[in-house]
Amino acid sequence: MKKSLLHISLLAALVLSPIAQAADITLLNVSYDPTRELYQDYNTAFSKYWKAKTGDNVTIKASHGGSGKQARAIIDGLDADVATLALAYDVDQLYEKGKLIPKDWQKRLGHNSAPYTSTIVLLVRKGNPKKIKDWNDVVRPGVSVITPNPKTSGGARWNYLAAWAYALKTNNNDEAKAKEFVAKLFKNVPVLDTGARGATTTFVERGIGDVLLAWENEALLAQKELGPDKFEIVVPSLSILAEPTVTVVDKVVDKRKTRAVATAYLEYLYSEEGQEIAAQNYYRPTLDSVAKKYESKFPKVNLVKIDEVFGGWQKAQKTHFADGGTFDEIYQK
Amino acid sequence: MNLKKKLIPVLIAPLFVGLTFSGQALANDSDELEKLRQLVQELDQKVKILDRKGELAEEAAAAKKKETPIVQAQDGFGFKSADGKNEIKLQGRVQADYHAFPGDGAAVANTTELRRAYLTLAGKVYKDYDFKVTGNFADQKADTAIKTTVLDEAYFGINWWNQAKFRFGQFQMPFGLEASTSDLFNDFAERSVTNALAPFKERGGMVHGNPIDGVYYGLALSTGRGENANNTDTINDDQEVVGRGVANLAKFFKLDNTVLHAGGSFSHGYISGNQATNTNTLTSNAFLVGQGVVSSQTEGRGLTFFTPTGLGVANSNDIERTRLGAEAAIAYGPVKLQSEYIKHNYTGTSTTAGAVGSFDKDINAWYVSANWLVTGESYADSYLSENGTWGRIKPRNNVDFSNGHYGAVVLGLRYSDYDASDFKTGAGAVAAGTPTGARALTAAATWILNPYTRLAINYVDTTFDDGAVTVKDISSNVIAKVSGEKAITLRGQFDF
Repeated sequence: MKKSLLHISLLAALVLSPIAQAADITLLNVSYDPTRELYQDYNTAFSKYWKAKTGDNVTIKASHGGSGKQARAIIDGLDADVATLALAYDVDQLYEKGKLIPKDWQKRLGHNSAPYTSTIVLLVRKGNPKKIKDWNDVVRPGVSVITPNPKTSGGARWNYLAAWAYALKTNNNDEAKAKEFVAKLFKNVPVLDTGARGATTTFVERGIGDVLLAWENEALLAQKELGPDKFEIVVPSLSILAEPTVTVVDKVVDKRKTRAVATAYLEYLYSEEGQEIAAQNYYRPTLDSVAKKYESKFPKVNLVKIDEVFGGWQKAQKTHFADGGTFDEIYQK
Repeated sequence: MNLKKKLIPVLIAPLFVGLTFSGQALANDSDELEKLRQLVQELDQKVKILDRKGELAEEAAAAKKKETPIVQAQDGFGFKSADGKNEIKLQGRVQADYHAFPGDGAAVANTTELRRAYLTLAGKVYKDYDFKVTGNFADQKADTAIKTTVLDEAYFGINWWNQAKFRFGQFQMPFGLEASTSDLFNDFAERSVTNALAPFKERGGMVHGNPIDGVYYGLALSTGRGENANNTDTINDDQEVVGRGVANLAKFFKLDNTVLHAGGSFSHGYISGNQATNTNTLTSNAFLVGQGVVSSQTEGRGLTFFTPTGLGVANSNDIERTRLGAEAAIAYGPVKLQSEYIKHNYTGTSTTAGAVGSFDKDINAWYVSANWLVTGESYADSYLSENGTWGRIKPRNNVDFSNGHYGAVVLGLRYSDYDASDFKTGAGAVAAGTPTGARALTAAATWILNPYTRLAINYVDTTFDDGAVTVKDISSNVIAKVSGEKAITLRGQFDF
């Protein structure tokens, strides 16, 4: 009898031993261009958190590029467990073109699945030699403007729309004048990068241009990395509330059986620690307590929302950035 | 881009030279100095912009390259996606032979023969799913000299795991080293007599793979009825089990430039008294059905020396067929020794008059061969670990007379033995006085012009055992008996 019990115990131990072992999990986060530093810090923190919570080892791989390009890569088969892209329209494409996520994906997480926000500012060289104070200075002849291509970069689309919103406000909502304004702006653009990080490289490292239209986080990071003695941030009188959005890619997590950890990965972005990491990387937190703590770090800007000025991303995309849209008309000129 | 970088000093230097020589004058004219400074800055910006545009164009070109399908012209012509996950290619081969039968074997006509003419469409999709369809345009209809087109192979594979891949369709059964090695890469024009006892391309399914590096296995279920034959036998419709396992021990001992190949094969199945043949007609007791080639033809593709009769098994009974094989090869640098042994066993109960009762008969065949790559190429380089066979030999230098390059040369000797002496009497016995076996010595020289083109000459001297083959002597037009055959085979081979 004792022997039988011993055998049963040993057998049970053998059967259960794999269950007790820590699992090794990998996740792929496909993100947009300037989030490299943010997710480098965040991935380390989440791995520790997940290990402490479940005992499992999770390794997060990250892929960065122009937001539109990244969305297309996922649709074309890149096995992204989570997508953390620059704007909701690009995430929408995962449903529209690939049926990889449900239509109502944005309702699954807080703040319409935008755990942090940002805006668009102007980065100029030390001393602001071209005396750029606001959007109207950017369109002056002789000012060289650096911005990426709105066809491939989410940040570039935010830049474009911020300028458009400013032109509308200063021209009594006259669309024709806004178009003319943005056309002038792009006339001043000597080179179009595919992503925001490439545009930063063009401006900061290659020394091209007088002003960089940049994500606020990217501008603050450039200033931090290279020193305030080299660049200045100019906060325009009006800008746009940029809401980068995140989602679990359902088809991939179900195939790879990573839904639980992928969901937790995104939910953790909303936690106090996640929000702290976002703020430290110059993204505006959405959690009130953390937002208050870092209030002084972010300049006060008059921000407009895309829904209010452009009727949402779907409409803005169709009007401005689709093939044959306003941007094509402007840039071909 | 370098040119553009060089432009900066070229453009700027004269300005500064000008400034140096006329420094005093310019110092007095700050407007002029400011204009020059602005001009330099503008030029600097223009050059930087050109530089950056060049960088972006390079990045765009590199990105486009990753997406552009690749045209390939090696091991077939075709296309594949830049990520290598999707591929389609057209492959082909032609083997043109000339057979001469001097001396006693003159009963067989000297002839040119289109030995093989294959066209293959192969490829893969989504990385893990492959396929291959091959048509043989030079298959010889039985008992005629007419060449016809038959399906040679047609299969698809699911390759999720390297340790366990799946294949379905008509394909080479996993059995034996010579039989598994492509006819393109064998060192002699024809495989040895043992090949007559190995299963060929049959219909079925297979799991195969490399559980560890240097080890291959294949386990298949097949009709056991041969190429292009479904099982139409309603009396016995069991599947035949065929398997092969091999290892290259040199991998474990980490021996460079060396192959130590060892392995074995088996098959087991049942054949009923009325057996469907390759042509799907029922033939009583055609127990050798399902073999790759005419079971008893000489290696010179001349005379048929072994013609057993039916085993006389009643329709309601089965013949149990078991095939066993052992294989070994040692290669070091340009030298290779290789040997195989195959044994067939047939058991059952015969109703043949004079042989009524149970029978248990064997056919044994083996060969040993030695090859030398005179030009120094290494056999280890041509060994394919993924399926334990020999592959393409790449000459150190392809033939290029203008540069004094002459390709590669292989010399080879092979001795083979086919013993079916159990069929001298009793069930399935051959006609009185006819052979129940043969021994052959083959000498071969192969000139490999490039990896895809070969010219070969083989001399095969075959001696029949236990009898003679009846032939009609061409010169005297009388019936005669021959105890052997001498054959010379010339081959020209090209594949792509």
